[in-house]
Amino acid sequence: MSDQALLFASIPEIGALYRSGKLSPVELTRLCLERIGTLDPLLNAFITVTAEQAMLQAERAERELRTGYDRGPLHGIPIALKDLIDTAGIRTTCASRILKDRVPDQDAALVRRLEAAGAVSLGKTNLSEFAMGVPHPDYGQSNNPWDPARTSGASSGGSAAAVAAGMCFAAVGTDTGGSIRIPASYCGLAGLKPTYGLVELDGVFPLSWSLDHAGPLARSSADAALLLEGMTGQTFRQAVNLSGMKFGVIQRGGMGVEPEVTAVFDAACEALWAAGATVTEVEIPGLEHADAALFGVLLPEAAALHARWIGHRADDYAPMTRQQIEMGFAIPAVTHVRAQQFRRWLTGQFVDALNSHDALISPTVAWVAPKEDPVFTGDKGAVEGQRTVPHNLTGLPALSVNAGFGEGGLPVGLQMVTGPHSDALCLGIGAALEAVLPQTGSWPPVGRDAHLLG
Amino acid sequence: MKEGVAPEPSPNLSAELVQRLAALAGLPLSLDRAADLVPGLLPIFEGDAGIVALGLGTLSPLGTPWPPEPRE
Repeated sequence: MSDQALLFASIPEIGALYRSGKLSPVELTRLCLERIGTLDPLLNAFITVTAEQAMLQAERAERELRTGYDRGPLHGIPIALKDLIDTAGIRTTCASRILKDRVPDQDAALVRRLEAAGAVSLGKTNLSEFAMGVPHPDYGQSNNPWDPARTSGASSGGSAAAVAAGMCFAAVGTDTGGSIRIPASYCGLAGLKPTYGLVELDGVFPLSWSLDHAGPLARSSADAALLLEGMTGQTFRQAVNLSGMKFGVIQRGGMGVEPEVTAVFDAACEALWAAGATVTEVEIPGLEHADAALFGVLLPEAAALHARWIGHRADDYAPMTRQQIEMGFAIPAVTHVRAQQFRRWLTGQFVDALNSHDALISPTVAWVAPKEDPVFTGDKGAVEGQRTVPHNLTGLPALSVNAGFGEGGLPVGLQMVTGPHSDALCLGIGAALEAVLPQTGSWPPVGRDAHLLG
Repeated sequence: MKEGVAPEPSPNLSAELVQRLAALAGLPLSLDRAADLVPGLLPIFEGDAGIVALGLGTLSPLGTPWPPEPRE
């Protein structure tokens, strides 16, 4: 297998090569680090590369596997962590000037689990400042492997770029309004926002406690399921037969939806029909209030979190991050509480719809990757998050998978939402859909075409 | 509107009001900075008015936002 093929192989394929002795974790980790060295100047996916620690973890995995101590599917697999996830002894910046020198004493809970599963962490990935949607100028934007002149998406853009470019096999992101699923859509990946509370967030720097989720980004739903298993210690493998399943379409159209997105989404719906599923339109009441409800919750929570810095270190924030935090101080408590009430009500609307459908589907984002991330409290930000935000409010599992490519060759995501606690079903449907969509499974030209490296 | 009192969105959301709200929450802002926040706050207050119109009444905002029993 060529180096390129190895870097884009699935996690089970790598595991099989390890266990047959044809490949070692040390060889593959070294290959990934070389890939990062080559491509990261272009993509800006990593804030900190932990090469020395990665090699030590890879050597340990190699030793253990050779002696028959098998920690499971993630053993020796190179991954990456969004840089708001605490790592003991390794700086965790939140892509901010405020925390640029912060070195946690302890690993986040999910990092401890991943280490126990034998994963090899290559480093900490770039994000928008404090996951608030805007890159801090000290760090800059992560660029998209499909077109480095475009964003890889906010806020887990570094994690998405690293996975899509073959720098690692999966990465952890966080999602408060779409920050896993939007980058997954822009970079042609599978990205899951799990059921609220499924992934422990101890040691993950909050943006908004009641809306935050951590989850996997990977090149397939099956690989995402394996990373989620490592993050939680639970199993999420569920084989799904699309024949006979019922899908409800929500938010197919609306403001700003690009025709190329609709075309790819409609083709995916036709593929579901061809696989024996039924696909019908469903109306969810109240979705027009979702964006306001999200910010009615998120901004005051973020304001409370940043109250210790915003008064005396305001100039250390990126201007739009500062403005969004300040907005949170001006939202009355009763507006916040009503938004929380709305979440309970909206969840009821979704659960009702899911009583008669296996999953609800929509385009993930109205458009393909833009040049820059829109400010999430602005008009364009509202359109970008229109289909992802509702599921942070409800806490239901929501997965974006690559549904194909638009006219310009950029990926288009399809989002599916399933019932509470049905993350395995959601990932299983994602895997089944990936299997019937003809264009998925191809990877970006970056690293193959010398001209893209400038 | 079914019930309740919603904050009135524009044109009553002034820089002065934003300044007072932020100060009550512990953040002193200049009037210029408060004015910069108004355009971003307007749609949130408009959305809040829409939520009031849903008449959610005694629905509790507490607890996990989905039914306690797993569906599977």
